[in-house]
Amino acid sequence: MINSILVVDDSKMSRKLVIRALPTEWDVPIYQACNGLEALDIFNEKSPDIVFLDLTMPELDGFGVLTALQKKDNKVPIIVISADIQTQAYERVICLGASAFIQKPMSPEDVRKVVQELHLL
Amino acid sequence: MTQIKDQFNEDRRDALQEVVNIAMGQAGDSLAKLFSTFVELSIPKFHLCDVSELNQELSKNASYAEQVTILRQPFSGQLRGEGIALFNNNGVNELANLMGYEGEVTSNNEREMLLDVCSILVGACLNGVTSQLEIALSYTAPTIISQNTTISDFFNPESIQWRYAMIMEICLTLEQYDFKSNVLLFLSEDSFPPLIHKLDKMLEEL
Repeated sequence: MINSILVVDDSKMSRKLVIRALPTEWDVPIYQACNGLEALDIFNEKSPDIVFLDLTMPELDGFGVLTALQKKDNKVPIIVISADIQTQAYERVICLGASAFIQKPMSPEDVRKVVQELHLL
Repeated sequence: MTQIKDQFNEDRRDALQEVVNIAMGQAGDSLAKLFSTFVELSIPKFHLCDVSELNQELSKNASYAEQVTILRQPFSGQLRGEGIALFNNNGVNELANLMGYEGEVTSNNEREMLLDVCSILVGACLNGVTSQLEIALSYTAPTIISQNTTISDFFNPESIQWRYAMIMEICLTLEQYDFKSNVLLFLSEDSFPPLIHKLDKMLEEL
């Protein structure tokens, strides 16, 4: 059951694209963060049920966010949405506990497919 | 200049940075495959300045005091400008090793390797931009324009024909090697209106 969502990206346009791509069934509060530090603050304060996370960001990047959450034994699904499409980037985020990886530019269908595969819909 | 800067408001800059971010990801992937190693990507930086302020603007990046090799790849079409690739000197010395080249490295070999890497890197960046903005560009073959120089020595405002320059700057660093490349995408001022039109179209679709 998804009760709130956290979308993390330093680009306002990219955050809007992710929010627009979210399944319409999820009519829940959406929190936004524009860097990794802000994301961790919101994560701790609001306890979202799913996180959409960019990798290349100022202050603290997505790898740093995943590392911090892994140390806390995080169980919340984290879907990385990134332009860093290297195979090693994918392998690293999965090792750091990400549930899935979507390559930018992404479509609403990409998001829907991943959340269905994760049985979140 | 204020009028030109006003044209690139926060939303348009953000959209352009994201377009370049995605293009950089594709360039990073190409480089990672070529060298079989992980490539660290920077956050793209946006500069819009009078060409007389170009050196001052670029000198804010400390790494531009380093000795580099500079290559250029002009492009034209719906946007006009140049892709400039900078390679740090230590990185140039690592190239043969990275590309699995065996035997003595002559200046010709080194030149060929630099041109190949520039073509892959700048080509991937430009392809990433053109596919997202749905525009067509034609490219000229890359050339080496200067070696063992610094960026501030290289950019002579008097040699640039444009009054204003828009520069998107990205940095790619190989994780396990002393290899770093900065790619600067220069756009001429006559490219601003078609670029803004494309960015607005993207933003309207949000």
